[in-house]
Amino acid sequence: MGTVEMLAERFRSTISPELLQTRRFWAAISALTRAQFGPARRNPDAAAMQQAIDSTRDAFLGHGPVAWASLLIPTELLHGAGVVGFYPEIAAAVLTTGRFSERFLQRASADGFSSDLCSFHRVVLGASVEGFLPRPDVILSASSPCDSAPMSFAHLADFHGVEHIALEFPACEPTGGGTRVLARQIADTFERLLAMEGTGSEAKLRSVVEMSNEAGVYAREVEELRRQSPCPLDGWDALGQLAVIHTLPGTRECVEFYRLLADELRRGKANRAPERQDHRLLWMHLKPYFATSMPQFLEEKGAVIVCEEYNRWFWPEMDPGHPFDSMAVKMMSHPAVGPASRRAEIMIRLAREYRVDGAVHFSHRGCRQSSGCARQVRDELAAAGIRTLVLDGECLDEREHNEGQVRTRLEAFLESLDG
Amino acid sequence: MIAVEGTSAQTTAGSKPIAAWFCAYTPIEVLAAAGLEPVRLFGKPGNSESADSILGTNICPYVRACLEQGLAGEAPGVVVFAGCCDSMRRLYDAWSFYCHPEFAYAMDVPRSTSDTSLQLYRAAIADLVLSLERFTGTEIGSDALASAIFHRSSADATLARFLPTDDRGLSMGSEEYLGLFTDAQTAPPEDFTRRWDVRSREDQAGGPGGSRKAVIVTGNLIRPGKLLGVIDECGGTVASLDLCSAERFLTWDEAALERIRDMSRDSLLDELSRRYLMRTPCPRMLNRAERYDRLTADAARLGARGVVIVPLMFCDPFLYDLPSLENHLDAAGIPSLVLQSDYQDENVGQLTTRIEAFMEMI
Repeated sequence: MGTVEMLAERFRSTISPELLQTRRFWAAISALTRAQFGPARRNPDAAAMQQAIDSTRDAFLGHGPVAWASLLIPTELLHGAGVVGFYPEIAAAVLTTGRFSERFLQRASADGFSSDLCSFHRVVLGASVEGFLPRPDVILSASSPCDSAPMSFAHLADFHGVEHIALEFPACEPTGGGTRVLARQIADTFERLLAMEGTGSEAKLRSVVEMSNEAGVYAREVEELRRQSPCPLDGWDALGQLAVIHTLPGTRECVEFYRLLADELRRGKANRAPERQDHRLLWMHLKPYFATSMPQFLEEKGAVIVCEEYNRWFWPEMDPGHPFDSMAVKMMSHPAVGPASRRAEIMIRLAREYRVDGAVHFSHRGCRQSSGCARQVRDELAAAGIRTLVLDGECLDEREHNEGQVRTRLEAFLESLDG
Repeated sequence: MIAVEGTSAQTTAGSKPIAAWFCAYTPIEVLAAAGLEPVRLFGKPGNSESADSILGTNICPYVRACLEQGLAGEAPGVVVFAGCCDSMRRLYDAWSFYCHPEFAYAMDVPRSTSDTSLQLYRAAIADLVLSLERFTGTEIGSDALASAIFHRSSADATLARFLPTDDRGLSMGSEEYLGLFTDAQTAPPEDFTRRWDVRSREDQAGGPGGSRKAVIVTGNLIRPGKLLGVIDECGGTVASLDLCSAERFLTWDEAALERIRDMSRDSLLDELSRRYLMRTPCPRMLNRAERYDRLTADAARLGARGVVIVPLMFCDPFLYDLPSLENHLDAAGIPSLVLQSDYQDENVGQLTTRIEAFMEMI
C-alpha cells in the first residue's frame, strides 16, 4: 500500500456516524473540495460538489426535515417544499467511489439480505443500519423504475420509524391517464412535506420549477455540443455526475453547473474527452463506481461515450403554473419507465441523434428491470442497424466484478466496430 | 382441468379461446366476461435455455419457465399480464416481442391499498376491459361480468371449504391440496365447482389433527409439489398454504354471491378492484405488518409449530421482505425455515433434507 492509499485508508477509518454529525467534519470536507476544485463560481464540478456537500451536511446536522427520495422522485418537489433532500441510491454510488461500501454490503448480508439483490440497495441498507446515512424524517419512493426502491425503503421506513410515501407509477402504459393520478399523488406529497415545516411554499415551488427550466436550457446545450464530432465530454466522467441531474434540478447550483459546463465545452476550453475518438458509443444503464481500468481501456481503444441513458435531461420543459403535472410528466419521461419497446425506441433515437458507432448495455447484476430487457433492447437496436454489446457487470459490489472478462468483451466489441 | 404444463398449445377450451394469465393480481373475471377461458400458466418444466438467453439467468425462474413455454409455442395467443414486479413486466416485454401473441396486455398493479392505489387499479381494470372489447369486438356488459364473478365466487366458496380452520390440519395430503388450487386456476370455474363441491361439503370436518406437526408454508409458487409431500412423510401436515398459487388466489366469499346479483357494471368493477387489491397480500405489497400479523395469527389459530418460507430465487419483493419476516416470526417464537427454490423438478434432494431436519427440530 502506497503512502497516499495508506493516508486515505486512515482517513476512512476515522469516519464514524458521530463524526458525520459534527460541523467541523463538514467544514473540513468543504475546505478540501475548494482546494481541489477551486471556487464554485468558475468551475462546474466545484459548483455541483459544493451543493452536494452542503445538502448532505444539512441532512446530517438536521438543518430541516430530511426527506429520503428514490431516483425518480422529482428534485423540484423537495426543493420546492423546502425540505432537505437525500438520495440514498446516489449516496451508495458515492460511498463506493470512496471505498466505503464493502462493510455495508457485508452488514446487509449479515442482516439477511440476499446477495442476489441490487447492490445499490444493499449498500443503502447496510449504511443506514450502521448510521452512515442521515436519519430521515420521511421516506419517498417511486414504484418505477424498479422494485428495489419501494421494497428496501419500506424496510428502512420501519427501521427508522418514519412514514414511507410510495408514489405509484402507471408503469405499464406510461402514456395513459395514469399521469394525472401521479400528478395528484405528487401534489398530496407536496402538502405533506409542507406540513413538516420546512422552508417551502407554492411560490418557492414555482421559482424552483423556473430554475429547473433555466438549467435545462444549458443542459440541452451541453447535449447538443456532445452530438458534435469530436465529442467534447466523455460519458464515463459524465456518469460520475449522476448526482447533478438526479438531485440538483431546481437549485441555483444546477443552473451554474450546466451554465459553466456549456461555456467550457462551447469555448473548447475543457479537457473532458479523449483526443482519439474512433468509436462513438451510447452507454445504457450505469457503470461501475469502484476503481476500474475500464475508462483507460476505452480511451486506449479510441472509444468515447457520447451519450448516456441515465445522464440526460430526459424531460420536457416544465410549466411553473402546473408544477405537479409537469413533475408527473418528468417522472414518466425517463426511459426506464414503461415497456422495453419504449426504452428501445428512445435508445434508437439517441443513437441516431448522437451518430454513434455502437451501443453498450451495462447489465448490472442485481437489476431485473434493466438487465431483464437487455437482449430485447439489443435486438431492437440491431434491427435499426446499431451494433450493441450487452456487458454483464456490477456497479457497486467490487467482489462480483471480473475486470479481465469485461475488458475482453469490450475489446472484442470495439474490434467488431472496426470491421 | 386443462393441462397447461408442457403440453402443446391449447388455444381453446370448448368453444372459448383460452386467455393465459400469470399473476394472482390479474382480475380473471374480466377475461371470462370477455368470452375467454382464463387459464394460469405454470411454465414449461425442465431447463429454460431459450428464455435464459433472452431474460438472463438472474431473474425469476417462474417467469423464465413461462417464457420458455411461450417460446416453445405451447401457450395460447391471448395473454394478460399483471405488472406486479420487474420480472413480470419483463416477461410481458419479452412475450410481446418474441412470442408474437395475438393479444398481449399488461396492467398496472399498485403496491398499497390506499384510495389512490384503488383508483389506479380500478383505472387499470377499466382499461383492460376496453382493450378486450376492442380485441374481441364485443362489449363486456354487466350481465357477463356478474356471471363471471358469480361462477368465480362459487368456485372460491368451494375452495374455501377446504381451508383448515383449526389445528386438525388438512383433510387431504398436502400435494393434493396444492393440486386443488392448481385445478381452480386452470379449469373453468363451473367445472371446478362441479368436480369438488360435494367433496368440499364432505371434508368440512377437517384433518386428523392429533400428533401431526402442522406447519404454515409461505412463498410465491412452489415446484415441485412433492416438496409438500415431504412434510406429510415427516409426520407433518400443512396448516396453511400461503402461496399466490394457493390460498392467496382466493378472492371471493359466499356472501359475494348475493351481493353482486343486481350491481351495475361500474359497481362490479369497483367490487373487483377492491377484492383484488385488498386480498391477502403478496410480499410485493407495502402493507407488510398486515402480512406478518396474519401469519402469526394463523399460526396460533391453526396450531402451526413452524413456518416454511419458500421464495423463488431472484424474487426481489420476497428477498427484501425476508429478513423482516424472519425477525417477526422469531419475535413471536415461531421457528422458520427458508428454502429458496429454483422452480425445477430436479433439484429437490437438498431441499428435502432440510425440510426433514426442520420437521424433526420442531
